[in-house]
Amino acid sequence: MSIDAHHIASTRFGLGPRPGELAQIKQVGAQRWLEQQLTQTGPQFDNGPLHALLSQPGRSDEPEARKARSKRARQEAQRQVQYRHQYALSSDAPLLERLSHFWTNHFAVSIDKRPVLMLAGAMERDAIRPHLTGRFSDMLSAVCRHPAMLLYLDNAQSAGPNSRVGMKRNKGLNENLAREILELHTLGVDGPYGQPDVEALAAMLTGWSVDRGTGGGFVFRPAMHQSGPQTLLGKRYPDTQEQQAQQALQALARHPATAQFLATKLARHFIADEPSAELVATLAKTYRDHDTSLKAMTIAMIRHPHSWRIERQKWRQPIQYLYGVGRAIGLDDGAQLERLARQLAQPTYQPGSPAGWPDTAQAWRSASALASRAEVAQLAAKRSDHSAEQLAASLGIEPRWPDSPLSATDQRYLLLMHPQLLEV
Amino acid sequence: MKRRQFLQGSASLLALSALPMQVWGSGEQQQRFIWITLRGAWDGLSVVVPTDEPQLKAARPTLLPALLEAGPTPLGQGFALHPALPTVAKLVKQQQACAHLAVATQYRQRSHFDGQAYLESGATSGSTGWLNTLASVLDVPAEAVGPRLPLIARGEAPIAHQIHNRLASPSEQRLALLREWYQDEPYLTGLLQQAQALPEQQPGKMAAQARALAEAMADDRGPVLAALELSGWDSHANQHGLLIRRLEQLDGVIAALIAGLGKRWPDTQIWIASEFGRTVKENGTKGTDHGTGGLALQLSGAGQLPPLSGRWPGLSEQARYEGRDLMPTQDLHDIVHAGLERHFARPLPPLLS
Repeated sequence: MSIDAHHIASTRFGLGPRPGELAQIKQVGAQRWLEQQLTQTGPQFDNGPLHALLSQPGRSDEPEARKARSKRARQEAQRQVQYRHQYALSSDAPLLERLSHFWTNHFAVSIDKRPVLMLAGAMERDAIRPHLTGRFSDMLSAVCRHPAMLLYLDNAQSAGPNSRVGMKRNKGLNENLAREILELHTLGVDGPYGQPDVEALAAMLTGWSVDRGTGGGFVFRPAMHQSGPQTLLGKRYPDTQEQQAQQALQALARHPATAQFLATKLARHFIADEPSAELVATLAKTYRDHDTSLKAMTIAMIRHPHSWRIERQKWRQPIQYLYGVGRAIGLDDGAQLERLARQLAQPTYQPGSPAGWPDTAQAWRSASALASRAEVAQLAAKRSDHSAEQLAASLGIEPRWPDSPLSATDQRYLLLMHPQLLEV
Repeated sequence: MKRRQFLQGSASLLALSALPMQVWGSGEQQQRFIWITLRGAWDGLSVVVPTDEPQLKAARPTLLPALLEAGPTPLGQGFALHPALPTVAKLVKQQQACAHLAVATQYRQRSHFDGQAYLESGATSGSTGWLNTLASVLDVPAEAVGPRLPLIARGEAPIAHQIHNRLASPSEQRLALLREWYQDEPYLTGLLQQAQALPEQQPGKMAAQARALAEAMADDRGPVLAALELSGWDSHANQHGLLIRRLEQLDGVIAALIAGLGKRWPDTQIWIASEFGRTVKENGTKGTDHGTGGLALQLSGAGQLPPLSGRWPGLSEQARYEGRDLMPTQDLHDIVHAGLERHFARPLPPLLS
């Protein structure tokens, strides 16, 4: 079964149609509808409650106070997750939301590590979203300076063995962040680096830390910085303190291996598990020719003919399926959506590993997953007050109903389990 | 469409007996095998501690004293077992547990994700897991439990996969509607067929899921092979407390499996391993970084296992791999393969891709 360009724009690039979205895409034109979104600014949730929480005095020995604090932290984390879902359910620039989710997953942190609990949503807001249509080099730097990443991959505590802190308190390097920057964020695991490069980047990153006193911002701690020059990928970086790692990140963002790695990942997420070499090459070249511009790379993907193949080629991840169902029936309850995301094994900001969620059908497409989706569809079908005709029109489906007698709920259930919602 | 035919084929007994490689009918296979992947690389040197190694104290100035103070269980020959594994300690006494020392796959880089792919398939870019191949070779039912179908279970053989959540299983009537709805969708039809045969949902903690799996395996017609996984072993910082929590969970899962297997436990082997080991030296943040040689645990209800197995390479800097990691002295896949051949009492073809 093949699909038309409006459906591709709405579901392959976006989050699935809300009522009226397909009509709007028809009116504006599929590519134009997508490109227009790249000029918009995304939503901004209020960071006030987070900062209020972070600036409260840190540790307390009182069990009651500790309990209350940890409860407030969980509530703040829930608030961030619910905002994310509400934007996704209601957005009329769903491509921007998809891009935000994609890059957040590229730089995955996981809130099962406690210090990150309140910070994952803040990282998406402050380090990812501002750069969705900007430069990857800026996003990389913003993420690596964000407390969520510095705490998640332990760099906040990493000290140069020859630094003041290193010598006095017998502390040393932690190579976690440096390794994942090379392997997961820039060059990719098959990239041209080795163990000495991991150690050199780890040394340059020493001192990049978190200031817990003033609301948990970035701080550079000279007393933890490993002094001296370092050599990364054959290039020598003199010791310019905080700037040493900054310069290394800028060079990594512009490395051809990074271009190839990011292009493959982007095309794999949006277009196909095994994207064509031609599409990937076009994206990589655009990225290189436009000084790591993510806007240019995204537009190149929107304009490439291989992105518009009418065969279904991506099994939607659980969260995308849920947004698809939620947008179709007009769900706006972010807390309820998160409960379902947990049941479908994709709890928000909790991929459990710095590699983020896997992105191919092999990981997500199974009988158990299909059975779980059927239960979700049944719940949604019962709760929806749209008629089956309305729902079919919103989804752009012309149903050929089975011969069995069907209630309105049955019809909604089948529409929400239509192959078009599962795969695009 | 090849896959669909295969699924339909295995659904009918007639077709099943026509399969050329069938050796056992699933009802006849007494033995059971369970594999547990510990994702993130567990620190073998803390789980089975070489307490007599003179180098260890210098390499681990904060981690070793904390561990020794917690009171590890002596295993003899200069090794001791982490105190958060009381069930394993009991099994050792009954000769039902063996620690395979200094093991590694042939993978020699330090990426978790490539390392896990290699562990599960024999290649960093593998698409067929060795447990799936084993299920084909033995022609027996298998099940994987976890949020996603793990690579070790992926491939041609139809392995049941259980997510385990709080959603009910769809009723037969709901599935029947979908069968009509998916008439032109062979792939989805195939998934629906498998969905019908899924075991009951078992929401709750990992130990509860393990217990349910083991109870299913205890049945004559239950799964013969199973894969489980536990995450969160990547102990770069503050390793001591983290490992205690992880090992307590693992110990609970092992106890639940043995309880659930019941009378089937004497016919069962459980293997536990990670993608690689961790550095000999502790790092600057009371943790350890990615290493090479590691530890595998073998548990067997049939007993007669020595507490320790493998050649110990020592921990001096010259004895280490690249001066930093425990030197691997045995191939993990090889010893598992040999263990499987003994367990199922038959020669097995290579299982890796």
